[in-house]
Amino acid sequence: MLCNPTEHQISRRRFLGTAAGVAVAGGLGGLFSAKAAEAMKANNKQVLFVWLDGGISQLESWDPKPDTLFGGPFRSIPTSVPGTHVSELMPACAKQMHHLCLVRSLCTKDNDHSSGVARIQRGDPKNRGVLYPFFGSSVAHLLGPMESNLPPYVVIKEGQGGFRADDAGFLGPAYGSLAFGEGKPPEDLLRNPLLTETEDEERNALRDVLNRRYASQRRPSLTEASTFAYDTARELMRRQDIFDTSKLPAKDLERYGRTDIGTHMLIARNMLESGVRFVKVANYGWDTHGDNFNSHASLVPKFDRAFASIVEDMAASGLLQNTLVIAMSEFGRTPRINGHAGRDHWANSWSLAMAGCGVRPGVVVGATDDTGVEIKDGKYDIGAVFHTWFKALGIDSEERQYKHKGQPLPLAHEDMTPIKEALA
Amino acid sequence: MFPALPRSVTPKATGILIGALVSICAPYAGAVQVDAAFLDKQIAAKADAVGVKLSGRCEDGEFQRRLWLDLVGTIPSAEEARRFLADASPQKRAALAERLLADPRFPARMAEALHLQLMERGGEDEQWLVYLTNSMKANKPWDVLVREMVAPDFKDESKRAAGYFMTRRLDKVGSQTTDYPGLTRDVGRMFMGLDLQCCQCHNHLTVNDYKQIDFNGLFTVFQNLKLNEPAGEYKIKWLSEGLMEAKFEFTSVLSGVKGSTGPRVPLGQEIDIPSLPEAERWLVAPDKKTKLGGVPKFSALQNLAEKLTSKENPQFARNIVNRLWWQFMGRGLVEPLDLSHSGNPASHPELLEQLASTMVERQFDLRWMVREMVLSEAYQRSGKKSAAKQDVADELFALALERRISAEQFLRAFLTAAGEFERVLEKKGWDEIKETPLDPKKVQTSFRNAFANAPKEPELKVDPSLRGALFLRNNSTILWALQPRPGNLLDRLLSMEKSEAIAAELYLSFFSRLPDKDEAEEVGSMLSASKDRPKTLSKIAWAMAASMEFYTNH
Amino acid sequence: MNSPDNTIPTKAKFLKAFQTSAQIFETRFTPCGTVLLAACMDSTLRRWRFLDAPLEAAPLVEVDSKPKAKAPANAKPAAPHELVELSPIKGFKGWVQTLATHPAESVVYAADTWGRLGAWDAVSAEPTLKWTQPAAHDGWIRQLAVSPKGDKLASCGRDKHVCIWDTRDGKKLADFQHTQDVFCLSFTPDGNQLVFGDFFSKIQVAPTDLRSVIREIDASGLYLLSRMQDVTGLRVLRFSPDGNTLFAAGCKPAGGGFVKGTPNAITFDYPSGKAKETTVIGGESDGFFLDLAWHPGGFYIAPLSGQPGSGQIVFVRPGEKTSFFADKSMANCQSVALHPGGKLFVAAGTNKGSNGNGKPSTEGPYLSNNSPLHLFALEG
Repeated sequence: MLCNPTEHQISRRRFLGTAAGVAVAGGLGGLFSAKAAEAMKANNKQVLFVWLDGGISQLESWDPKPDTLFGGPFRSIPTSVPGTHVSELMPACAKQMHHLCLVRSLCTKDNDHSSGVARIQRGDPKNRGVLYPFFGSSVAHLLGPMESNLPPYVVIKEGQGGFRADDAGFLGPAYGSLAFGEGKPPEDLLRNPLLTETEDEERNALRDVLNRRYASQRRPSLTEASTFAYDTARELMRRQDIFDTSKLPAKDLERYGRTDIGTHMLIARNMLESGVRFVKVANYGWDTHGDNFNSHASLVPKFDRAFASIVEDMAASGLLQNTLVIAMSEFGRTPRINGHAGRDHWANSWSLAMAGCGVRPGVVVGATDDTGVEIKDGKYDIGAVFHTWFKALGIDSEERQYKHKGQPLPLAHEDMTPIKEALA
Repeated sequence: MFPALPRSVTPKATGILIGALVSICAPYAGAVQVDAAFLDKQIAAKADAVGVKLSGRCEDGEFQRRLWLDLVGTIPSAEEARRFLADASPQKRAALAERLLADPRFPARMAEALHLQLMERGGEDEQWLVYLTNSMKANKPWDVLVREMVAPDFKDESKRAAGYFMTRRLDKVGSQTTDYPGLTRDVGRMFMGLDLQCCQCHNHLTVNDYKQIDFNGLFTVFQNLKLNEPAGEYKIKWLSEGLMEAKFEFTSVLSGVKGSTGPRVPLGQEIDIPSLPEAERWLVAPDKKTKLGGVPKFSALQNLAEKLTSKENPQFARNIVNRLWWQFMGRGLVEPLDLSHSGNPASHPELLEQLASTMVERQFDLRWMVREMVLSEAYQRSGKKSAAKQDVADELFALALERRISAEQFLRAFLTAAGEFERVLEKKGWDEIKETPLDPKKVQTSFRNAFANAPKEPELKVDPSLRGALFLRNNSTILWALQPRPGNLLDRLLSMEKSEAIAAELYLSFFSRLPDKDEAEEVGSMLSASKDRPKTLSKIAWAMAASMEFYTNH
Repeated sequence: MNSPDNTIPTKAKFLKAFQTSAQIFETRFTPCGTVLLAACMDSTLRRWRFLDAPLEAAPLVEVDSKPKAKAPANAKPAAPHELVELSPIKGFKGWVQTLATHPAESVVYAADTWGRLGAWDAVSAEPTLKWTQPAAHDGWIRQLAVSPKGDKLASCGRDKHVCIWDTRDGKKLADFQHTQDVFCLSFTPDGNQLVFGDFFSKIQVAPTDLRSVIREIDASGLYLLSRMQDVTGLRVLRFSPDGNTLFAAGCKPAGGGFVKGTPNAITFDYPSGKAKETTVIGGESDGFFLDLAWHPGGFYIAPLSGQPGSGQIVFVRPGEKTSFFADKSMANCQSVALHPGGKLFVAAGTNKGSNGNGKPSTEGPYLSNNSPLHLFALEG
């Protein structure tokens, strides 16, 4: 007879502690052991990755050089951390600085978007002849989905959504991202109106019965993968509220800002609260080669409001404790101001912001010189940043390795190590 | 008999292996009859040696579903399935195999399977598929086929489309306008089972056999090709070859050691570059007026294609044998398919060698090997494990492995089961139902989007995805096909009274088998509890279409 | 400002280029024509004495690269004009983006991006401060304008305020709280009204007491929301001398980031507020009108920003579809100062190669860009 879908919750919520994603057989037997419980706890880590595509200017944000040759028109303002200043375009983040950890001494290798975006998000390991995964895919692979059964790696962005296998590199399409374009769900996500929810559940329950019968005579891993895919689908369909922009509370929207990034950040908060492992908010249009200062005067405050609000909310709800928050671009912008009052691409000395899980709050790591051109203290490439993130999530990237076609591959650049000052 | 190993290898690492191979292989050389029985003997011997019991023959239902999907790319209709099950002839399996091998859908299915392997969703082209299908129809020898693909003759209209493999693989990816290293890698992977990608810049770090010269011997030939836009009578992109007058020089980025090579098949002998007087270098000089490229007297590409596909190149035969084995058995004798080297021996070395040498003797007759495989016990093995038995390694082929169904197979199988194949894909029977006809191209695309991998992601494994699950759950075509409509599955089911008959029709339609007692009762109890019979039947049909038994080739 | 002869200029001839060491936003002559002033990115207000005859030992540096436009072979030798740098006016923070001169007196008003506003004697050898308002605005002061009679100074800024100051002592006469960042402004020729253009490229009109906005003029076609970036296209407001025509210029933006857009200047019939012809120049890479210098011959001389490495000086007549003269020898033109004689003007551009990703070279110091000043003669 048909079983109630809730009767086999346990089998669906497979223990995913070290399971390499959907294709690995679950070790159900270990679910209730103390060790497993410990692992479960360690495994409730989440990530909010805010990607400012095109390159936010470090000088108009985290590393202002007011009233200097390349400093631009803006002033800097004090923050909640005495002695730390940020651009006047970020009043809200200034109030959250005690939660944030800034790295002002990034020195990376690529001044080009087409390669830079991927190099930064893949951690730019030594060339191994394989395509490394984006950070989101890495986390989806290493930590798996959460108990919620929601997809582990979700992107909220403008423009088109869909399934993006490319992100996953050698980990394979299963670890690609699910993108919500304009916060809208992907194709075929909504239940067909010809079916009621009950009918849909009934036919799925029967599918489960057929599958269990089939799997009982075969190795269960493939069927489990299928079950997981359908459960994730059901969860996504059930949780349409988390990406329904019409249901976002007006009060929150007011705080986050009625802008793309404000709305998307609010959806991100909902998704994190609902148990998505890795949420990336991708915001575009930061490539300010011309009129950089008016552009940043328009863009930065929108980011500022949205980012400060989510950090504040997550700190208040406690979510921040388990969530690693990152805001960055593929590079910064040139100190030199071009003839169109713009700033070009700059990988020599730039900044990123972090908060939350595993990160030391209220600190600034590294420093640039008076003009912002050279790094004075603590130069870090993206490989070190990847090690830092992994460490913050409790993944020992200096020990642990990927296995790809039988070959061990390091999680991050093997010549680099975590940024200790940035870790709690 | 081939040399057991590709070429000089470090004795330390592989000495034992060489000894073992030679001693096993030598007595059989040339004497053995390589057929279905030989395959079975080889599989049995290894299982025996490790004390694993092979599973028995699969049931007829499982067999016919498997064979149909493999040979004609879809499942049998309920009626076909019922007829086969009812057939009492002890020879019926072989007879079915012969019938399907002679079916016009067989060459199309082989062409499709080749296309998926060779192009890896990198592109679709109608003429290319026609070319492959015609080649399979003629049972064109694999070496001829590969020569036509690798060194395409664009002047010959009947073979022009073969050039799609090279032009598409060479054509732009991302921001690059051409991808010569990618093409080099793919030729090594597809035709020799060697992934030489790492060797562009240095000797392979973990595979001793793969050297930088192996990559560059191919690369020097391909980087001498020019990808041209459609021009004149060529309505497709085409290649022209330049003169090759000097060896290609390269430096290891790791050791700094320099090397040079002329055209060269990986692991093989270098091809000499003749020094020709300047006036004699072109067979046909490039024509500036027609903008058609010239034909060099010494064509490195032609030479390379000859050597690549010759019987002196053992990897060429091993590769196709291994790929066919993978296609029909669910796992290559060498895995990964493109990582053949002395440190990664075949699961059944002798089987591989004998299949490869026979493939050469039989002039690369693909159909021969397909026939022997599907007639073997190894192919007909049950996929079900007995309750007590522990997991056994896939490489023993002790039970049938579950295989992926391509998006195309899934589409055809689903529409066949739902009884909507002709209407949707052949545009028949729309007049009587007064609905807006579905566009078959669009339907195909939607299935592809749901089930195919991203470009360059080989479709090697069963890989249930969220995307596919959402598609089956919510896509309107799926739901549409499971509504009653004249002549379709739901229509037939609604005309039946007894639940036993309905259960049988459902199971035959989707799984090509009859339901067991529990399964039939399950359908019966759902129907007796139903207040809306069409809806209940549609739900059951959907659950079957979305089940793993339907989603895999098992 | 009458030309000694009655020929109306139709073109400009490049005379000479002068190197500077700073990036210049705005440049103007004093009414007497003896001093050239420039609002600079390095938080200074620079000054040069403008000489009609060369000095004995001219302490001047000429730009190495000559402009592309070549003078005809039979051209007369360039007029012997020189610029001699005077000590700059300092004490600003951030950028000095705007300056304005008194219509009759040698007084210059300048403001910085941190909110300071001041008045100086423009021609004295050492700068003499007349008055200053250290916190005239909260932050970026975007533009200044002096009333035709010279009694009032108007300012607007990113703090959403429009203010009027007494030019004599810097006393604030009026303060208007706008809802948006205000980019540009202009007095009407009769001096009774002030018009100002905002973030959304909307123009508002207020009497000079700024008590209320009496009407709005819509130039919002010059505003674009590109993704989430607001691109304010309206940058300059100018009146014809009779006050009947308002010229609202800037750019019709096509996208953020690079800020692509086509130079547009809308001619409004001021009494009715109705838009008439829009002057459009070039394409989406030609950027903004950043300044407009009214020539008594009935046209504007205007610099166009272009994209890095390109730019032009154009002559436009209000109400015409496009320009009637263009000189493309300078990159990224920022501002034009018409000499009171009406026969010469100076344009500030940007050095070639001002843009580029990363460091221009890994060796040597990392230098800022600068604005060469090009002197042109107007010709019939």
